[in-house]
Amino acid sequence: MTSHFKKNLCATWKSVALCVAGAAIALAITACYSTPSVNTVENANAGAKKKLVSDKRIYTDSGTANIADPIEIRTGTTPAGTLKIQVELMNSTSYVGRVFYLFEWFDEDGMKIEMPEVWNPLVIPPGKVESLTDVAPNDRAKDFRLSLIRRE
Amino acid sequence: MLSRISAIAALACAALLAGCSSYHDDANSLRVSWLRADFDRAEKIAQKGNASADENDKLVWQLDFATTLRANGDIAGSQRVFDAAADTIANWDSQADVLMSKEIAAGVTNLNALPYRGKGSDRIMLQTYRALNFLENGQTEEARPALNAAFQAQSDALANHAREIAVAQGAAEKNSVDVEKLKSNPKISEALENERAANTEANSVAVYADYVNPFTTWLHGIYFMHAGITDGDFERAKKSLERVSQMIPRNSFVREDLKSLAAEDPAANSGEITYVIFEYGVAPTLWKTNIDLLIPVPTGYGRITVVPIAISLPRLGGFSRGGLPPMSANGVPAQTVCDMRSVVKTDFENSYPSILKRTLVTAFVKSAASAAANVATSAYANSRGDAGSALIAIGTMIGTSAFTLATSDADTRIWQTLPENYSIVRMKTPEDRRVNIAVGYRSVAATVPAGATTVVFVKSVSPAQWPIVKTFVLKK
Amino acid sequence: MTKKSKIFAVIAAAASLAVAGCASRQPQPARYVDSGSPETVVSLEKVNVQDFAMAAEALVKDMLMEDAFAETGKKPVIALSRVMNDTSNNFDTALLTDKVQEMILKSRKATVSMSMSVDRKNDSVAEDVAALGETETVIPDMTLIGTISEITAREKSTRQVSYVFKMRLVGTRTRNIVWMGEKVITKQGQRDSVGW
Repeated sequence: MTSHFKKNLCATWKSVALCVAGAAIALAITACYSTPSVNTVENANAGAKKKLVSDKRIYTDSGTANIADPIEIRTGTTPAGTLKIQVELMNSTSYVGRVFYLFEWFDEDGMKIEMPEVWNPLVIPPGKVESLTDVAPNDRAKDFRLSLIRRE
Repeated sequence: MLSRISAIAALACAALLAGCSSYHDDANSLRVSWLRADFDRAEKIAQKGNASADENDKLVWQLDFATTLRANGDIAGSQRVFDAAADTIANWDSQADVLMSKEIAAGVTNLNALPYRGKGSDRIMLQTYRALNFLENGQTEEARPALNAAFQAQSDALANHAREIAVAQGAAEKNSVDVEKLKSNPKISEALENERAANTEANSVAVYADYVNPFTTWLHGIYFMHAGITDGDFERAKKSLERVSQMIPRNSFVREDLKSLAAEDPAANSGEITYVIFEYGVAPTLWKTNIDLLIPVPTGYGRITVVPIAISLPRLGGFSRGGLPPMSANGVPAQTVCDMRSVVKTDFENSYPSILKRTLVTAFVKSAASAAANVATSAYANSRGDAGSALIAIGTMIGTSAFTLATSDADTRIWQTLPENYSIVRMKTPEDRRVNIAVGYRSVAATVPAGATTVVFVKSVSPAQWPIVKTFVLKK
Repeated sequence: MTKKSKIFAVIAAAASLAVAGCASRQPQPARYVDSGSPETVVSLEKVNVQDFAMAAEALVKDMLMEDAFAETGKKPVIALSRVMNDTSNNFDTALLTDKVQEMILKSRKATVSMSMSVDRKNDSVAEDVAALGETETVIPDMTLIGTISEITAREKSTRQVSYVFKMRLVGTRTRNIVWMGEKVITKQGQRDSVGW
């Protein structure tokens, strides 16, 4: 074997070895840090008659949108006739999504109804669809707004 | 060379100041006043100590200050200071186990440079006194969270103890000191063994298992038995009183309460009941034991130098002589429900291995550093051969020895004003509601307030003192 | 400067910039924060102001969702009987009960009365009215009772505390439980082993 050929062979093997080592490390890291995500099963022909709300979205943070993406908004009323809302949020990432959420309610003039309010924490496992339900604070409420912010 | 020595001297002074503590003298004055039942003076000393304490010593002074206020009848003031003490503990608990700034100072001086974070027994008694303050102030419902906190402190004590052991081991590893090898040094092990054997008073006191304070557990039990609302409360009462009964099997009053709880309807009134709690004496304190030895220390380049090592360790002391005086209520003799000497000793015995380890590490490190400094200045003097450098070498030897001895100081911080003993009487409330309290040769009459379950609390530190009596209603 | 040392200098500069950029441990001067906002401090050893707000909101909204006030067929009178603090720290239970009463009142689904034990001892209005010689006490249709309890758990250096807020709405005359609800707030935290 010529020395030139030996040199090339050594260099090649070194590169291969480095690639294999790098791939192994990457796999190991992924295995350590990946969070199991959620599988779901539901009725393909859902019998319930949903009243869906078409929404207006303002996204300022794509990170929040990925871990808590509103995929469906349903409306209804309680037996006493008070408005209630249910929002389905999906975490389409592979890690646990932690957000704070806040529901605000508005009367028929679009004026905010002042009530004690607090941002609530929510944890959404990867791949899960989480339902958030809220009821209007009183019968004056005709409209709502849901705000979401990522938790550090 | 001179600038190096100046730097070392400056560092030594700073370290000296960090490790210096006037706590021992002030605490001694407090204890003397307390033993004489001069509660006013004790309060003044404790107030001054609390006001001037730095963050390291703040907690221990808060605990003593609150107790002196309580003895002087200032329940609101006592509660404020106990609340402040609870906040101090919460603040330390939110910080790391090991605080490097404090560890560095402690490493070159002694363990007094570390913050006093509260022993397991302190945390339990703090909440117990908070509960008693609430009860004496007529705030029966508010006593519930304090008793829950006392209970929680008992389970937390075990976890905190495990962390202490880890911290002590970490300190040894960081300084590369083989503590087991040091302890097995014949001179050191003999000195330690002699010291332990000589402390016959402490050796005669038993320990309690697992940080459980029988008085706190008993108080928890009778509170939930009489002031409880739900079936869950009665269950808690039963568990607590069962525990006390196992720890103090001779106490027949606890058995009577258990029998009452076992009845079909625990809440049914079996007549009005009065408990009399005797809080007597003063718990042991911590004294210092100094062990000064000469041991060989490696000083580099294969050299071994014999250097002085000064070990200052705490030991339990201040036990009262003569045992408990007779205590009774309407002629019914009181029975011990908690020997606080055992509570204090349990805490001390559990933390002693960590204290010993850390003290040996610090003593060894200081001695080794002194030895290295001495070797360096001696070598310098030998190479120069002049009087000036010889003086520096001698000065270094004197200085390092003085520094080692002066900074060797055991950590004797402890809650000084805890009692020695809790004893109880359980009786049917007298028809005339009068209870004659006797402690030693002093007796005092108390009038029990109206209520289904009432408590008479008697405070006394010596048989010569007139007992201080307070009453409160546990169940209306 | 050699090429190697130039590269090291660049890497060192980049690293220190990164550390400076990520550094978030600078002490902050005091500032106002909204007591319901995500910026409030979360403590393990006590119930925080936002915990009371979360619990009150969750419990009252559950009452509204389940139509708890429709039992009597008219707008009921509700009074607060007792909320027991069974945690290990002392706080004023009014921090919860006042918010609950406020939300019920603003829902306009019920009238809130001060006639029961929680409010009665602080009822200066009743004292003033009695002094005028006229008293009329309306017995409430339903009473609210509750407990706040605590469950702790620990694993190595991680500590977990759950505060359980439970409430029941009970028909005063029937003693029937009309509604019951619970809100659990769980907090977890770790202690550093080494700090400065």
